[in-house]
Amino acid sequence: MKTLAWGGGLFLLGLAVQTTVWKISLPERQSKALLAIMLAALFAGLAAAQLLPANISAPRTWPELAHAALLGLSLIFSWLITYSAIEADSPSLVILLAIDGKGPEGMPESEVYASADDSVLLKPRIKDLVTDRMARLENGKYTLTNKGRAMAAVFSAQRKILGLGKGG
Amino acid sequence: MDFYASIIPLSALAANAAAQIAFRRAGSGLLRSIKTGFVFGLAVMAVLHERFPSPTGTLAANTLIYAALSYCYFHFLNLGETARRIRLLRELAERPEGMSKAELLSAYGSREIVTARLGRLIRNGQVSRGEDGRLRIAGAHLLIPARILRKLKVLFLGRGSADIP
Repeated sequence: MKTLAWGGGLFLLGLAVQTTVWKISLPERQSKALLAIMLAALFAGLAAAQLLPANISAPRTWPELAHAALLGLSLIFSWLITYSAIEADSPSLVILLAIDGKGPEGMPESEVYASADDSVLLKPRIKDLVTDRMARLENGKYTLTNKGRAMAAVFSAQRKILGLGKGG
Repeated sequence: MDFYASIIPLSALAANAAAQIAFRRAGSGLLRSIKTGFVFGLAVMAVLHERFPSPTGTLAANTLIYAALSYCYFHFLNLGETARRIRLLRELAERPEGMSKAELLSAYGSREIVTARLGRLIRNGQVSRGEDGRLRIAGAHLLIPARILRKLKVLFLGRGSADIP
């Protein structure tokens, strides 16, 4: 139960801190800020647990600390991934919500194509590549940074292993 | 508690990934291979807990860890399949001399994205195309998460999705 209480509790603490920070001012690089807040809450919390009196149940041995950290990290990365879908509109979900908004009468297909254009779907993502330092813009051309090249290599390898096409 | 408590969900995740890749390479669809991998990993975790009995709290924590790690793995696969940023990165990786915005948009346009997404939604039974050519909601599996994400977006960002009118 120590793992659940501490791993889960410190994740919730990080979430509360993130919500408060977001209400005060939205960070420019949101995913990076989220990760920093969550990791700080988890590891500072586990370190602080060592200072508590012995009669309070807390992870103290290395295996207990590793287990609580593993739970905290798995929840943090799950939240980080979910948050990326909050931060950037997923085209599938936007299409789904638009069709849902039309109710039983439905939505003409042409309306979806007419409204989901490059300015909604692609231009913000191109800008994100530069903001996240995965690409740089020089003389009107976008080129990959080392970080962008590494990320592209990971996903190219993934698609090769799984025998998938271009995707997107 | 021993270190094996932490190793069990990691081993289950490794089994999940190995089974998913094996099923996919054997010709299974991506979504089906992901489901099969998840169930296989869960079975491996059950066997390991049978072999190394743990208190209920450890079992509950490991189930949560395995579910969370599997969720991350699912999204890692999904990112490679659907994320626009990843696709743009791969387009740029193929052109080391660089691409202008216009070249990027012509290599990967919004029409291609909408066609792929709509096709996926229809194939997976989330949207139907009626005889009148209009699109309607046919399933709730994705609609419910979409509504939850819309609420979270309002909570964290103070705005809804970029709506298609």
